[in-house]
Amino acid sequence: MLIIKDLTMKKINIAYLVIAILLGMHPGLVNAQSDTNLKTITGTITDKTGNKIANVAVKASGSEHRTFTDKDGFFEINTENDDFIIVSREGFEKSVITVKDGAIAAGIIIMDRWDVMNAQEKIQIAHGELPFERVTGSIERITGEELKDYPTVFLQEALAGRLSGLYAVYGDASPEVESFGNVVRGSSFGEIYVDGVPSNLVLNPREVDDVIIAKDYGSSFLYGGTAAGGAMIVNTKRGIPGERLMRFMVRGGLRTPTFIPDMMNAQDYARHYNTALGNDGFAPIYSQETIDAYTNGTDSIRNPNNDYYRQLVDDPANYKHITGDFSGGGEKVQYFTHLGYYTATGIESVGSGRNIARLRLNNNVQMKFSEYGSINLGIGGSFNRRKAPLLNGNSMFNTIYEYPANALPYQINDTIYARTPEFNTNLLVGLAHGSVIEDTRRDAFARIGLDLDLGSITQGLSFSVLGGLYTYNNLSRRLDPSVDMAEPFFTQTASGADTLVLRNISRGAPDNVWGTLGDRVDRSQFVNANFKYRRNFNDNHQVMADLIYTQRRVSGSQLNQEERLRNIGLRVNYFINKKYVVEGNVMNSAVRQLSKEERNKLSYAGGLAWLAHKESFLADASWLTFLKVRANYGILGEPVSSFFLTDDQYTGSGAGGSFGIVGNNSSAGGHIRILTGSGNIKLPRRQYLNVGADFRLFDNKITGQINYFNIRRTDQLVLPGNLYALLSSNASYLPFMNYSDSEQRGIDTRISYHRTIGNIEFTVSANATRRVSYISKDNSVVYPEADRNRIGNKGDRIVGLEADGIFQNQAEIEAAPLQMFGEVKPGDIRYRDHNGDGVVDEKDYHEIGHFARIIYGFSYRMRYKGWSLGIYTDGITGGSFIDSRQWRPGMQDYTAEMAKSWPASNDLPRLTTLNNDNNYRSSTFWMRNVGFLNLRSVTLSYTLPPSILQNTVVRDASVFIAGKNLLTVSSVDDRFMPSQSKGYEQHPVLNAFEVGLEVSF
Amino acid sequence: MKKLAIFCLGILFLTSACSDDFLEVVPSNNNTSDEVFRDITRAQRFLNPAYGGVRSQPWISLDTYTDNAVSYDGAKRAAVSGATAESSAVAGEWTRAIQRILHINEFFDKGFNVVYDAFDEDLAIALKQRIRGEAFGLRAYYKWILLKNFAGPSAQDPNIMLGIPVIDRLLTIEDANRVGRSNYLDSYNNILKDLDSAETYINTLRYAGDGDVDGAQFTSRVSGEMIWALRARMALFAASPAYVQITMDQAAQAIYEAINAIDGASIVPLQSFGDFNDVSNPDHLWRKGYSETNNLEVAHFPPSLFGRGECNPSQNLVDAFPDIYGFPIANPLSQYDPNNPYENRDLRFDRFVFHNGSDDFNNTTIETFVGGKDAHGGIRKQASRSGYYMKKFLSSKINLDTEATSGNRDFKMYPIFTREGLYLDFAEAAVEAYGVAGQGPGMAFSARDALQVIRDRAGIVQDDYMDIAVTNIDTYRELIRNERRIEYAFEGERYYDVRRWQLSSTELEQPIMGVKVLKNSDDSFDYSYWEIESRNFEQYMYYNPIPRTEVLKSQAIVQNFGWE
Repeated sequence: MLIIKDLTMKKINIAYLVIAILLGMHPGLVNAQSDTNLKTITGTITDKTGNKIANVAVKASGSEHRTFTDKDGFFEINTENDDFIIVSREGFEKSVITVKDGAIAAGIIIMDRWDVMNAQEKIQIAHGELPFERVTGSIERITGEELKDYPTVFLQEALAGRLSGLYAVYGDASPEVESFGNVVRGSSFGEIYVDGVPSNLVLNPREVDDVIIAKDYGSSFLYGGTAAGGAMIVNTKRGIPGERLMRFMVRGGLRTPTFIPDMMNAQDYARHYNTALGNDGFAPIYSQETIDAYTNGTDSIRNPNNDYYRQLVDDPANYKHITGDFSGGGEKVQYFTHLGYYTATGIESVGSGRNIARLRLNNNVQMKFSEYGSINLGIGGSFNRRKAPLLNGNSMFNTIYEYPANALPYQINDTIYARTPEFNTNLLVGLAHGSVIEDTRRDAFARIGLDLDLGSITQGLSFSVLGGLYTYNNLSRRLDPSVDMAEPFFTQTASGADTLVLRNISRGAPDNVWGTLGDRVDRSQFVNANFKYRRNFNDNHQVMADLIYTQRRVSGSQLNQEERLRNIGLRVNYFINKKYVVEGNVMNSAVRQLSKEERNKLSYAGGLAWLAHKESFLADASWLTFLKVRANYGILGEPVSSFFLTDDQYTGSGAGGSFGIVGNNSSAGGHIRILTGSGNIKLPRRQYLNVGADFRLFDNKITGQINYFNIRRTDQLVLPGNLYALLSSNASYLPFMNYSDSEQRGIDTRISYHRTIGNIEFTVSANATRRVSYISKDNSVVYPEADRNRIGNKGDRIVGLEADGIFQNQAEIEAAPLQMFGEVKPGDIRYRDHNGDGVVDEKDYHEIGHFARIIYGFSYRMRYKGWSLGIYTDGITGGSFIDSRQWRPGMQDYTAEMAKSWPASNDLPRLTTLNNDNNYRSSTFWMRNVGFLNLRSVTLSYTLPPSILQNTVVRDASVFIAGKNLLTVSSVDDRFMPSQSKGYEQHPVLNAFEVGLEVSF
Repeated sequence: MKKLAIFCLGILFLTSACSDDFLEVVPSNNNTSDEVFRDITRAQRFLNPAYGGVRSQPWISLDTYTDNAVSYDGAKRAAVSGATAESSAVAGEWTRAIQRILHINEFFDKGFNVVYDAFDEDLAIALKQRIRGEAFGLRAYYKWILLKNFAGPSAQDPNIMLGIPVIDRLLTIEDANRVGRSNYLDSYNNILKDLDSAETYINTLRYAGDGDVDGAQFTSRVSGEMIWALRARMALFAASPAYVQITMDQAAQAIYEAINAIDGASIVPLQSFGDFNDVSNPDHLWRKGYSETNNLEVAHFPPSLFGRGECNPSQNLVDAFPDIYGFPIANPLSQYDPNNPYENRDLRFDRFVFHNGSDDFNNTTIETFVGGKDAHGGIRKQASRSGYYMKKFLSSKINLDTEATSGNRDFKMYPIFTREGLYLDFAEAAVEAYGVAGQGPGMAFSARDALQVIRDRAGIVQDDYMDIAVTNIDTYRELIRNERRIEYAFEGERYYDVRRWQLSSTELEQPIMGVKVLKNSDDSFDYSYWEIESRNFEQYMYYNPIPRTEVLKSQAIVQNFGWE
């Protein structure tokens, strides 16, 4: 089911391939070698704790010989006199050993496990890197290789459940516009830096070297105000000297909805709607004959009984993903190229469906041009083409959810389609005969970086500069054909026979001319210059300092104003006695909209770390491999939205109105104030405290971290509409004020256990974040009813009424305190008079619970001989939600659950066809436990054993099967809890079953 | 050397990047105060949006909080259980009025220190005059909206009748929470002062002709007629039983004066209702601009006319329409026949309400009988709850059928003040002030004269009932109030009138009734009546609550008595 087959695509396909070959693959095709004069090298490969590692692929770059280690981790290989040996194995980071004069430096080669952050390993942080042991903040890092076993093309989805503090959110679930988001400690990432450049690319785990979650000011501070909520740092893969690798992957999968609502069929709906009408005092509108006709399927035009899910969206969606990674290079030049092609279809069984095709290219080249300098380049982008009905996935499902099974027949006859006054979306028309949208999105980036060693000027000084450009454009066009439509209405003739009358007929028209829609263009430019000073004065005094300057401009057709951001900052990291780290940061991250004085203000952050395992009093603690205790604190200004705050502002768009009489009129323009200036706005600030520890215990069997965090946001800008009477009637006459303080406190932790027992290696990992927010100052009304107030209370509380069951009869209503929320009849919810004033009204609102406070994840990864298995889960718990699913159905479809409505049970209030102000409001009646556990993915793969591959050109080959979104465990089973409206008002999240193959040469 | 050069280049790069225009303020697309208030033309542009709070369509939904109508989608909370200080039908009027008062005050602050048009200074001066008058008139109108909706006895001392927060200058956050409510009479006089100022600047009684300052193209700007009509309405309210701030005599005189100013000492026959599409209707004393639209028809036409049928008149209102000779239907002399309840009725009934059997729009017969096209489950699942649909304000020219060849739009406007309104105001005050004669000393006409032109327009050609009613103050009063109810149906006025008259809570708790029509096999109909909605009315509900959040925010605004 390949999709887009027009010429443009082919042309671009070819163009991309040519570029890829020119840029990437060429260096890999050089160096043909003869087999004479080879040296034999032997060695043993172990992990950090000395365990010998079997089945490590060992390849000599120059001689092109390769072998695998035996069960004792031993290998023997023939190499050139000067050569590179590359060792690689799943679960470990690849490493390169230099062969110099026919020998290697040490016979024992130590490989790093993916999930172990080595003390000296350099970790990317804001505009620089630090050895892990010297980072004072809480960071999480995960390698792209680890993320590979999640069946997705979205990096942001693959992160689900794995890291402390991080939660992966389902965005749009419709395959042609699928998206995901990540939240760290409750707020969205301020920024995603890809290879140092703030970007918004759709990245695929396979092009990623590693991802670092810089949660706090110990690692994200120098990114400035826009990253005040934490940053995600992504490094894409680079070539390794001496390597020459081609890796191809192909996979395909099928997807079906994770959840489909259980809605009533026409006969059940008709019966219950009659009941609802009766409750409202009206006569029933569905006769028994009609209900029987629904059941028997008689006359489907007069008595439609449509199962939309089965009829319209019952096809498994499929997707295909093909990637080719090419990497390698010599001592001076290395390259990496990722080429990806992804296509996906939707689940519609009518019409031409929803389709997307995406081509992705990412090229990295680094070149060392002298011993003092190197250049790195990145060029790439993506080309996306989407074609879908204008009726998007969410609207389609919303219609399916809202329309009763008997709402309308799709077709009245061969050429006329139906609609009704109340249900005027004909899904068959919308999906198969209506407007179609097609868009082409292109994004492209280019990045160039220069690193210079200025050691000759001052020892330890270097300079690097990085510039990046990103452009995005989206061209949309649409076709708007229409068909003949009418409202069918059955009426009785004088003789009593039913006749079909067509009302409100509209004639359709074909459309063969694509109309173009607005073109969206975004551009951003980024420059970062950085002086680095790295100096070890002696073992006891080591300094790393970075002076950074960054500037960024973002413009786009959807932005009112060009955004400009500039940061100047300094970080000094001082390492004492190789045990203590003291770090200080200072920065000016100017907010242009503020006064000059506020703009020039400096932000500060500082951190401490203590490598406790190095202390003599812990020397005997053999169980303790690594323990870093760390703390950091900083205050950073936050950006304000793009307006200027000091002067009153007016706009000419306010409607002036029209005057006069027909034939003699005048219309007049208008001016209104839109902003009241305020001269004394302070920079809104975020204070971030993080105290925590990173640890590795029992020979790295246990690794993890634990943190306490306290994030205070002070002086946030508000329009104080709830603070000032009268003026709040026109918000334009209120000046912005610094009047919102809140605090979030919480802990997050991750702990992993790794073990090897015989041939079985496994890692179990768990993480959790608990977070509570407090509001100390806020633009909200202060009520005399104290526990209704926001200020002084927790930010995540649920405010509502206390329900006391359902009124069974009129006598109960009369005996109860007067309920002031409108009409109350038997079958309606009874509320308690919380404040005891004799009536039930808004003053009885109080805190009845709180929303979820805990997010968590579990993962399990196992390897046995060639088999490996990865299981990833995540979830939310520790709170409630107000379930409004059964609220206000009106004349829309009923969920199967509504059959329980009073008097059938007391689980739900009486059915009504009308508004009901009493029942459908926040109360304990509707409060449910929010907890769930979601099985995000399971992947099983099999790697062919070395013995088979030994004498082939294939370096590595594996096959895998995987599934995602397979199961959710929750206390509420009538929805997909991780994203509650998906399946009802929105396109359901899809599960996936895929098979794939990966081969490296 | 080479390295040094590179280093220097690096430094250069850094410094040059620093000295950019980062801190320069990029001009925004918006305007500054200087630009907006530069000359007379622009100052006028600033005033124009102040008209934004004047209704361009009748406030139909407010009638669903009275006994006139219900909404097709369910009972209104504040109508059934009664309002609370946080939920009242008129809470939005607070914001609507104050928002514009703030705007107008800014205009007063900055709008006159402007440059005249150098090409035509005389015109500019005349324009500036008129604009200043408009600003006063509009501010008076919005203050009146506040007074009409929110006046009431003080929660601190129920003997004090409070009025509105008088805001006559640009309000700042420093004093926003310190402005309290003046008492009723001070508020009333403050509004009159604004109206007097308006009158001094506006020389136009009614916009007509082609003049550059007073031509018909300015219709719907504040005019002399509007100023007079507003004075009249205010006087009637101030003298009403709920407020009693002035005497009925004072009110009657004020209204008489208004009629006199507009029409001379005479009562003028009224224009017919037509399709409510006459934008030059001389009876419109003040209205918002017109537009060519079908919004009301889409919302309110019955299903068989392709509308949603949102406003459903109650049986209570239907019963208020007299018979063809003006007799109340309960009167033994009336022509009313319970078996043919829609026949021999006041012609306004057929112009204002769609009932079962109405057939004068687009050749379509309305069927609200059970099983009919316009009943539940007919063309629409959700149909009239009362058995009736609103027809007043709807145009018979509009056909919403997609296939219709005739037009599907008509001219629409809504008059805030009308000549008939003025007459009703006068009749009510005159009867209270001067008794059954209804004629004050020196006045050229009586309450009956005013009422008669209204009954004439209604088609009551031989008004026998009038002769009976005017003999007794109670039946006379009842007649005037009933005429007011009918004439103002679906405009929301009844919501205020019943409170202003302080009808007894028993009356205000009368259930809202609907009709169930059953069609017999011989095509005759049976009518039965049932309760659609109940009403709860407490004593303190005669006066509306100030929106509670405003009271909580402010240190000075006092709530009306009984509301917490």
